[in-house]
Amino acid sequence: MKKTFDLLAFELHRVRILYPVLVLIIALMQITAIVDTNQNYMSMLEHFQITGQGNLLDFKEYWGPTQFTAVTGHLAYVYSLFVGVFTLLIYSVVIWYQDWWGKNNLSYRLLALPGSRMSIFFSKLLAILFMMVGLIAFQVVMLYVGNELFELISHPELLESTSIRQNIEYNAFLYVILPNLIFDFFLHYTIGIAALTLVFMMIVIALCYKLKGMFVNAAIIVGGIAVAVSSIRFDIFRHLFVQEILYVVIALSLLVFFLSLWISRKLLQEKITV
Amino acid sequence: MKNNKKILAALFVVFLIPLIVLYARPIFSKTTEKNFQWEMTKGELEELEQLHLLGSVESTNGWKSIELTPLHDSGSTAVFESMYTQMNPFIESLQSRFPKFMRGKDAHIANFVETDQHLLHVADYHYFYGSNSGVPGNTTTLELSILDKETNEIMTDDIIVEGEEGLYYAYVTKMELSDSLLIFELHIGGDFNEEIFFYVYDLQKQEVQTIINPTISQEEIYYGSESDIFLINESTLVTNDVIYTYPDYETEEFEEIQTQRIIRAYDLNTGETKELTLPESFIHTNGILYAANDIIYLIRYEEGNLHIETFDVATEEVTETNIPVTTEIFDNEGQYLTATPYQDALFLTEQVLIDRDDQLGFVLLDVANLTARAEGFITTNQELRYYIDYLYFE
Repeated sequence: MKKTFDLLAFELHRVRILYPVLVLIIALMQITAIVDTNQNYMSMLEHFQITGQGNLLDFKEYWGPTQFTAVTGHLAYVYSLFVGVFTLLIYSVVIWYQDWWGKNNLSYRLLALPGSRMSIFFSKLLAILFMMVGLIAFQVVMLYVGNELFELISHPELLESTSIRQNIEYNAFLYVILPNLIFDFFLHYTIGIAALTLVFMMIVIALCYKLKGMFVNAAIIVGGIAVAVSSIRFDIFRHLFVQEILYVVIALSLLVFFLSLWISRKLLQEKITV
Repeated sequence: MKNNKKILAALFVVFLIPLIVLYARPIFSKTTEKNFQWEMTKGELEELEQLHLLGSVESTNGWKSIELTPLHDSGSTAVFESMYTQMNPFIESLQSRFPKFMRGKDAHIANFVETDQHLLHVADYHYFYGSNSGVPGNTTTLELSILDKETNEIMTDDIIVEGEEGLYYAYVTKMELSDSLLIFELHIGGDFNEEIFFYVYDLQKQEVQTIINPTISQEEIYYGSESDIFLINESTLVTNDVIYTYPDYETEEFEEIQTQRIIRAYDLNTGETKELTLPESFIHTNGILYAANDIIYLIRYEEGNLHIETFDVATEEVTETNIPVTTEIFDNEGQYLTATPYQDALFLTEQVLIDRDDQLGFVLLDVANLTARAEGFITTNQELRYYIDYLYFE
């Protein structure tokens, strides 16, 4: 455990610059979305009044009030979410290969450390999860702060306040990241963590078996797609109620998680080389 | 290194705070607690004891199924709340009451019909691309399942459906059940067009008695008309179609979408159209249309009265009756209303309860004697929207 946390601290120390920069980029993109949404709305109002279509109240009646939901639907806002998610996804691969590739011999030292080699695996997994939780928490804060900022700069007579829940619901991708119901939150992140563990296992396979490992990984991906397509094609969940399907999904996620851990442990202890 | 770990632990706790605020607050705010009161202005609450109102209530965590009964506290059947398990309240109710029957059946409300004795289901057909059969043929079979609610016995039968070559789908949009006849509206899709039929299935003989080809144009189908079906006697089916007339886009003139009501009657034995000369008010007036025992009723609320017009199909006699009611039940020019047969009467109610200043009025109408047997309203103590979707009776 001590080794895992030491390595976790080491992994997070490596991103001490990159991670705050990522957070800053996301914040700037979301603030841009807030300002741009307001400016667009004010430009529309100006055009509405110049062309003699009516006054402020006519505009509000015709176009509707200004709401923060328009911000969460703004392209810059959507892209900011993609930036966060994809950066973490890419770093999930980089976090392994930066130790194994190149001229440095860090992987030697990591493997030579006393104690279980699974500490390497867990420290990298926890580092990604730590950063993920940080980004989610930051997103929640940005929703509250952004809402306040939007209400501050918007025309008070055009503004209609919306709840955080409504703002989240308006953006489908944001809803996946921050579902309204706590059960769905755990469901999404159970599936997500299982998928991340699977990706880590595939990286370990590739590190162990090189080209052969790539073929094994390709087979895993093809097999996974085939199972998913077959389950839809043959409607294998037809006799299950929707709650039961959720239980199956959770059980499969846990199975993938523990199986990936077990295979990774075997490979890290017995097979992996530098 | 030790300090680093402390910083990490502190950071993690800081990260958790916004998440706890977001997810824990609704749990402790108790805003999802339901509280509805039934108040009677006429008649006794016990008269409605077999009534179940199934609906949805909007809570801070999204929509939630709810069941209201006059003599019991409201409650939800959901084991846990998830966006993925939210479904039609009627289907949710059927799954909890008849799990064995419901297993393996699509959760489409239109495919089910329930009476106090039976629950029936007709399955849809959809051609699956890439299936072994290659190209779609011109026939298919739809499975009919009948549950006897007393004995829990399930009977099944295959209903053969024939269409043009290239039958891509056949799906049920509504069902009606009399003592021995099941009538369902079936949309059949071929290569180039869609056809609508009414299938009349004899439950005693276990065979299709008649296939009615109604006089519904392709345009009506294309623009999506809505219809109700009524059995006004053992041999006549009445359909109430609301046809949407869309603006002419070629002229680029903005027009409101117009609606037109068409009431048609069909002979269940021969499948032929029956002549029906209804008064103009039945066609041009908003209100609830209901039919039973050879009589078609048009019911609407007008300034403290239920105004009821009746048309006797046999004698073509028209009557008009005003029934004074104390409950205002018709909001929004007759929209969001529902009428359900209940113990030889008709339970009329609004469907939407907007907030705690609103009342969800209801009237139990004795259709034979044209009197209000019971009246009342439901109120809530919350600023929540509530929709009654379906009613069923124990």
